[in-house]
Amino acid sequence: MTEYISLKTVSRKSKIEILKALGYGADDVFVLKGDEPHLDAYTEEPIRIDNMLILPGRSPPVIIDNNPLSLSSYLEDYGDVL
Amino acid sequence: MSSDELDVPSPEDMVAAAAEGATRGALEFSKKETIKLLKFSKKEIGHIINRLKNRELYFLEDEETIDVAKEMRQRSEYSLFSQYVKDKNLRILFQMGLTLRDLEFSENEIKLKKLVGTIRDKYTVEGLHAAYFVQNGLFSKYLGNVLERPVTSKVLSHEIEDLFNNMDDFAVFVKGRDDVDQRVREIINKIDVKSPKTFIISGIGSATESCEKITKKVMDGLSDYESETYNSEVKKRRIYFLNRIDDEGI
Repeated sequence: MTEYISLKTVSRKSKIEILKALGYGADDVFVLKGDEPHLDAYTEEPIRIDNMLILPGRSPPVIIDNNPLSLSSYLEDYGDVL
Repeated sequence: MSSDELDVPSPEDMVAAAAEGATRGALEFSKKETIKLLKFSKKEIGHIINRLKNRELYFLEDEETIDVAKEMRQRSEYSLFSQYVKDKNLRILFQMGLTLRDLEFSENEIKLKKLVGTIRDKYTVEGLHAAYFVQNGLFSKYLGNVLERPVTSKVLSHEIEDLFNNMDDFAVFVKGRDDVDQRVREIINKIDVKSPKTFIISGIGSATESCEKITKKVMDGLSDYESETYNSEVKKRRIYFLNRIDDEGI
């Protein structure tokens, strides 16, 4: 069964360590991919660390922005995996 | 694992909750007024990454966010729409319309404005108008109107997709401050160009008066259309469907 952890309960340091373990990075505000801000796949906007979601993907997990449009788009792409 | 603050469950409990059965512990934990933030060891991070990759675990801000998104997909209006429309972007726009409606109903102005901006940026103003169409409950009325004609599922699918892909060619949302004669010219021009089977004119509250004037003038200038009117007490909305009269009937 898939479970979730609320990011509200996770320290910033641990969030960044999880991001790094997934091949991403972070500056003071945004999730980074290489040296550039990682863009939300649906809105093409930079993702703030304090507003990110880490969700199951086809192979690696996907990181998207926490907004209704991105979430609905994710559910269209991945179905009822959550 | 260490903690930032006190007055919370023991660190051992939190480790167990985060790494193994995370959900319940983390949720109960987050309800406390004083929040101790989880800090994971390297080993725990490794375990978390494995669980993420195995699709056993994911990270959200809160459960409500995903529940709302999932609930939109369960709505009967959306189920009806998705029977006829397979286009992913149109389905998302429909769900965004339902979300806008909920935000409007709950008077969450900040989230509403933010979502309007996000929809416009992604799908342009015309896409936003498609979301407004759903937000204002026009889809079910539209469907009821179309189904009065003998129409196959295939044709209906095409008509709905055409409407949602080209909303500004098939519908206008009248505002109270609109110039009536300018709107009339604009609508007649649109109908002349596309000759749609159904054209929609809609207005809310004080705009219904302009809406009525505009529709009357438009109808005076069209010989092959007849109009049908819907009044809704919700937000005092008025909707006019201008239906093309074909040789074999409407």
